[in-house]
Amino acid sequence: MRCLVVLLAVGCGEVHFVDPNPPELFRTTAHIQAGLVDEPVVWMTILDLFVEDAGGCAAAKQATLDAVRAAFATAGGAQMELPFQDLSPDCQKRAEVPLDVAAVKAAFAKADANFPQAHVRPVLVYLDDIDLPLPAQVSSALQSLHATSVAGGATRPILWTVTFPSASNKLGSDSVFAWTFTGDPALQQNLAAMVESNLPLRSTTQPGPIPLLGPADMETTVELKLCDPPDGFKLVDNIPVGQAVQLDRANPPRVLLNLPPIFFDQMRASQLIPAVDITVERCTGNCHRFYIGQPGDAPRRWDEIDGCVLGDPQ
Amino acid sequence: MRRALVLAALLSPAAFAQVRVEPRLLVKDHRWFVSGGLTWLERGDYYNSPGFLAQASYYLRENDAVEVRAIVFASWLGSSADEVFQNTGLVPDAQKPVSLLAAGWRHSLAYGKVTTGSSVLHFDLQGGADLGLLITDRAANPALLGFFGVAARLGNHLYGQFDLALMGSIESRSTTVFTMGFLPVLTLGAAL
Repeated sequence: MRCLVVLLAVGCGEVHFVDPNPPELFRTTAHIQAGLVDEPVVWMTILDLFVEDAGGCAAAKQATLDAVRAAFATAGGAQMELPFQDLSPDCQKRAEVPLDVAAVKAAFAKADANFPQAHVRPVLVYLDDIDLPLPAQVSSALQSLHATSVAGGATRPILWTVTFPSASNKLGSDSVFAWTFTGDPALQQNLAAMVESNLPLRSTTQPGPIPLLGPADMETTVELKLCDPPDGFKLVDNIPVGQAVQLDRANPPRVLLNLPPIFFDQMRASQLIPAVDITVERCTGNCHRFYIGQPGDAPRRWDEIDGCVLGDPQ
Repeated sequence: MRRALVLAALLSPAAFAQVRVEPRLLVKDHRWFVSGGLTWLERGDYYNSPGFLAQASYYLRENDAVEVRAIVFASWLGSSADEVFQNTGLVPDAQKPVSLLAAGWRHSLAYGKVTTGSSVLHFDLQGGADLGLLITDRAANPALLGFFGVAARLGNHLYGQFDLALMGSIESRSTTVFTMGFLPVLTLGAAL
């Protein structure tokens, strides 16, 4: 009887067994951010203009093309204009010539081949000056192109339409501008503003392989555990999550994050760069000794526990 | 004849009967009582903690004294905890008692005498309280002692004392706890 009944009534003070040499544990968080690269600006103009005076057709088309080209020129960087499509060659009948989907796709492929290291995401600019719903064949062709996979399936084209609401409805464009009139400076300004805020597109790059420990931590760490698999990222290095591994200073632990390319326009790129915190629990000594979380908890050897044991660092 | 009757009366059993009043011999007023002895701290901490102590009391008046105690413990891990340590390396989170320094007040509750064969033992029933520090292998912790005991006169200047103390202290273990334990104290000393 270690404590007499009287003392038991008032409590003797709880005694728990502890490890006099517990594991020396620390939590380290590595903040890893994806890189961003500018992608080439690849674009194509699709014209479907009606001009009452057929004699002004060529001039109207040229003025419109010039406006689009001038707007895209402001994007800078690597650029490639794909051959434009003209659905109304003499400006007298809307959608007189069907949109050559095969030719457009071939142009996409050519752009892809032209920038083998990049993720090409073409911008289709559809210009139409008739305030009527689109003919079904034009609408379906544009939607088909809009849904086409490019860059090996990584992306799909962007569709900007410059037309009247009656025509742009249900087209699923990424951006819509109101058509005014041929040669309107505001048309070019609107396009230029759109180009400026969106292009060149930027895409994420693989951040890694990234060392999990800094030089100071490398000096002191004996064993380590990777605490949690990061959300939205995929670890491809051979570091088991939650398992204690001996630190090999000759081959410091690194992680390679398998991050799919994500595209951003210029406006959002700086705010939305994917990032992840990778938490590591480091043991600097007595790693095989007992860890006891709360008084009275069963003692467990740290390097045999599946997972990290320390709370979030303050 | 008259003389014979008077002598007979004087020699009768009634004449031999006498009332003897044992004077109070354990007098403490304005005297020092200094003693040393043995103790054992039992507080359920998996340590065996015998101790040696010295204490001194000065009686400000017959029934009240101030006192100081110093105890040195020779603590070692008990067999059950030692077995755990040998098998796993784990030890109790209780601190190992090293010494106790305390000072306080002692009060005489009652004076008594008891005949032991041909002699009479004079004793005092006492109680009191001390405040002090329980010094352990890791810290000096505040401690409070309350005790009852007896002090008995064993000779002209020799006395013995036994106190049964209840000791509480605040100690940092895995968490901060209030611990309680028994501290029986047996001393032998001199009244100066």
